[in-house]
Amino acid sequence: MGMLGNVFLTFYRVTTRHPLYAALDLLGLSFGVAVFVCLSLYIRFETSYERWIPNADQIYEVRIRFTMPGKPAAFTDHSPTALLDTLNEDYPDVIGARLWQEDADIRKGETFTRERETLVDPAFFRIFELPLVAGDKASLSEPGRVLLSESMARKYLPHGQGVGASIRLADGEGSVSYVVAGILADVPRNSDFDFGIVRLLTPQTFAAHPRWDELGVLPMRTWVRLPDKQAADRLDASFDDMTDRHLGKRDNGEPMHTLFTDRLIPLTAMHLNDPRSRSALYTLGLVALLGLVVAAINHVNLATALAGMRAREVAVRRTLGGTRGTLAGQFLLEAMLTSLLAWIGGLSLVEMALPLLNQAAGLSLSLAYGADGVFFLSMMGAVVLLGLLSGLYPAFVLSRFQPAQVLASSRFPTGGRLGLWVREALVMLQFTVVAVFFILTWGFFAQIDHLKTTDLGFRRDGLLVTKSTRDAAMTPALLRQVWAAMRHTPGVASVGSAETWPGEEDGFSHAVLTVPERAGIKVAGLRAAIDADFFAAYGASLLAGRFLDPALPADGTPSGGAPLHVVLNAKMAKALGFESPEQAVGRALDLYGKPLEVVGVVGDLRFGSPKEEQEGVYYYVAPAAERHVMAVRYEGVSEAEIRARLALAWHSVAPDVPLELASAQDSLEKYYAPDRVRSRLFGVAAAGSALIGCLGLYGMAAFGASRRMLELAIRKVLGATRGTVVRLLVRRFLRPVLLANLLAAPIAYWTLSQWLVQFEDRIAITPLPFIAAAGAVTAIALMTVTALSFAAGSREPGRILRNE
Amino acid sequence: MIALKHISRLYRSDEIETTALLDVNLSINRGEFVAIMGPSGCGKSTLLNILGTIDRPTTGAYMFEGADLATMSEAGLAEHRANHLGFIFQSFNLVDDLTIRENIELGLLYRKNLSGSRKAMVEEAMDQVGIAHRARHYPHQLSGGQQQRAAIARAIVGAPSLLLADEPTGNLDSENGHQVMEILKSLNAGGVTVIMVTHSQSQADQASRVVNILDGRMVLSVNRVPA
Ligand SMILES: Nc1ncnc2c1ncn2[C@@H]1O[C@H](COP(=O)(O)OP(=O)(O)O)[C@@H](O)[C@H]1O
Ligand SMILES: [Mg+2]
Repeated sequence: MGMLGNVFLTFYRVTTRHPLYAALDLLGLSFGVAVFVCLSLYIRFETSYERWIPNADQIYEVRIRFTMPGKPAAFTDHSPTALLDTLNEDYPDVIGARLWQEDADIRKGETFTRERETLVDPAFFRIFELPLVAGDKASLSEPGRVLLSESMARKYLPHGQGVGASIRLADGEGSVSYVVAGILADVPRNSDFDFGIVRLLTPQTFAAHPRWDELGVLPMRTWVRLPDKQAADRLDASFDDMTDRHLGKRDNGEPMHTLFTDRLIPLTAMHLNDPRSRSALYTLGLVALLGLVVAAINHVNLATALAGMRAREVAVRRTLGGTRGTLAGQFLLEAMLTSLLAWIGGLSLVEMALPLLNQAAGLSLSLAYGADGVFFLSMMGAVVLLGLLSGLYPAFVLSRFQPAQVLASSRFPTGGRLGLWVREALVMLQFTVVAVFFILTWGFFAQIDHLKTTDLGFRRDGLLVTKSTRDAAMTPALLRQVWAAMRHTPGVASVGSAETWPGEEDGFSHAVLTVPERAGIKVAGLRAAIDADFFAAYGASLLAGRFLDPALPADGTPSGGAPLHVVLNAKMAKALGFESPEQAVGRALDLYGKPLEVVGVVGDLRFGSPKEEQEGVYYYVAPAAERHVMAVRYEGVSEAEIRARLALAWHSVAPDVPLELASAQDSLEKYYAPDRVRSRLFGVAAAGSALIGCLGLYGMAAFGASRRMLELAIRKVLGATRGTVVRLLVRRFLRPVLLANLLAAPIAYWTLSQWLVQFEDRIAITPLPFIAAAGAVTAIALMTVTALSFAAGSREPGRILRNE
Repeated sequence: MIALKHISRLYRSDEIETTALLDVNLSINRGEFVAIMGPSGCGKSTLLNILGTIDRPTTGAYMFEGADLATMSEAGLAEHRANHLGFIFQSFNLVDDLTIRENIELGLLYRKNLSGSRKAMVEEAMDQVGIAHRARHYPHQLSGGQQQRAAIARAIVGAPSLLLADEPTGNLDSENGHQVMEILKSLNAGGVTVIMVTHSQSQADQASRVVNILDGRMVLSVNRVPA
């Protein structure tokens, strides 16, 4: 048996001789690995968006960057139809294609359902080489052809039919029957795309949308494929010139690209394009590592404590010619073996926990060892490396023992005062991490709950909204019938309509207002097309003046150059320089030369993300054709009941249009969902770390108790009660935990305030989570140590003394 | 074989200074059986530990077959111990977690060049002390005498030229103590130099030389004619 064999043998023997410590060590590390792997899987999932598309690295979207006066540069997520023509003209070598989406109604049996339909230029498939499971894309260019995804085909085609079957779509081009040219593979979960129904943009499509050619209309997403990063950088850098070449100078003489220009966004960066999402992922990555570190500290502590017990072994090895180096190597190798076992244990835990985690956090993570080999190997590498690092200190302590002293006595050294101090500091570090996680989890959830219930300037309860009124079949006449039918439904208090709804603030158009009496003040904001019942339906609060009145022509269609009456939100009134809402009322404004007059100011209706600054908005009564979204306020009936009644009323006037109603709360959900998912994962890490910390603490307390068994026995013989003995042990192990609470408070406070900055409407940080975390962390630590101390304190002193 | 010149060893701990050895001069020839005697706390173990290079003298020179051990590196000393020395302790110091055979194998683990097969050497050492039938037991399953014989087997398995024994019979009854003495004597007869700390006059009488120590000083070194 050689040196390596001896290491394995000794590792095996030590593990089986001290099963409690070995189990605590291994269990703690396994939990650490599990936390690490779970969070890594999530990060992996979030960063793998669109990588399923072949050559994803070569695909870029062209987006428009615009710089509104007084605001930082922002990007539109759509582009004008003409952008592709300009690209083709200036860069004939670049492959470019457009994508446009609309809703299509499909009849299935007696009912219509609505699906998303994607229309693309033929060159799109040279950019996105979407995998097909049947048929071919080439025949798509024949008239009246469509591609369906597998699940769409399953849903709408008669059983057993596929390529060659026909399907009727009702959309902006009317109700047309298409022949299925091919079946696309379903889009995986890590994608923001929806390729359920795909067909080509045709001259008919453009004919059906005459407004597409108007200035400022951005219906398309425009994609290009470039051979490499250098080509992309070159193209990106030339866009400013392209803009200036085609559009010349601004009114103020500056080149046009200072107002808007084009930029390339890589396809793979699109999902995490928001820097806040990226930093949230970095944070989770850090948390994943910290979970592992907390577990590694367990190993450091337990291995160092056990080192005392193994002093004799070390000393003997030294007398037999073992050097410090070979001994240190032995302990490092043991640490590595432990972390390898923990890796296996951790993966087993993940296998068990993943279904629960997926359900709790609304995710679909999975362990795909085969497909993700490199990812798993690098995670394993990280775990083993950390295991190795955690072996350094015990190896150092062990190889430092002086053999002469150990061998002469029957006592074991404990690694000295230094060892004790280091171990206490490490326990403190662990529980600091645990307490910080605790406080942050609390803070995250408090903020998310706050957003769910905070005043958004409109009443969320009793409010249903629908976009079904956007349907292509909705003529203005039919719209008015639908509104009337809704209004007459029993239980409905009011029905309003507007251009957009909560959760889609950017559905409003951008506009720049000026105040004529104060030349030069230009304020960018949103113009919101509404009807006069909009405010009543949403339950907006009037701050000054009056709401808009359908009976007054000037509130909707002013005649002969009279100003259009508008209502401002508080933000806009302030941005325009009015000191109070009252001051704004009656004032004249100018919209690109068109006169407006303020008749009222309302509190901000927050339709946008809680992380975006509220925009200034002015509301005006617009023609029916511009108000596609309907809001219904109901009273005195349950939601289920009103939904049923509305569906019935709707069906009686618009049977061919599917109705989809959402509660206002649901339509805002997308703003909260990512934070909620991440907070839940964070909570999982917090709970995991607390568990790991307690395992470690239990191990340390158990070790301390066993080391002091003789002392405790003698104390009891001398008359100490079990209570004194318990107090003695508890005090020792509680000190680092109490210190950890003190240390955690400022760290958590700082981190939480950094996180909260992104919300305009945020909770105040109260002492409550800090106190609760300190209480909870101390309580679980106390329970861990006390349970053990009682066992130790209850032991028969006679037996211990006889055995010594 | 061994020459100690002006060896002193001071212990400093918490303001207290203890002189464990003071100006010890000692030469030992190959093949001697030296017994070290003296009252408790006089520095016997300290001297043995210095001879075994697991403790370093504060001052003085230590020559071993012409090599200066006082200035040798840590790694050099480790190799020296692996190739030339064998240790036996009063408290046996077997590794609890290893079987008797594995404990004895440890004695070969750090040796670079082995004369024969590892297994054969272990078997031979076990036969020599009569412990072969306990090879697969753990130390705590053995009596004190058996444990000490196993410890001797571990010390001699690598065929050391110098065997250091610190009160090897101190924890044993007279019957077992006698057995251990017989083993040490036969090893000495086979050419191994033995240095042994003992409190027993009868054991000292069986040595070829007795070194007496008092308060860290060597007071008397008596050569005896082997009986
Ligand atoms: N590590 C140490 N630190 C301080 N003093 C020590 C240490 N080891 C031994 N001594 C002291 O050195 C003296 C000699 O010790 P030792 O050689 O063990 O004596 P013996 O083996 O003869 O009983 C004693 O006074 C002892 O207290
Ligand atoms: Mg002694």
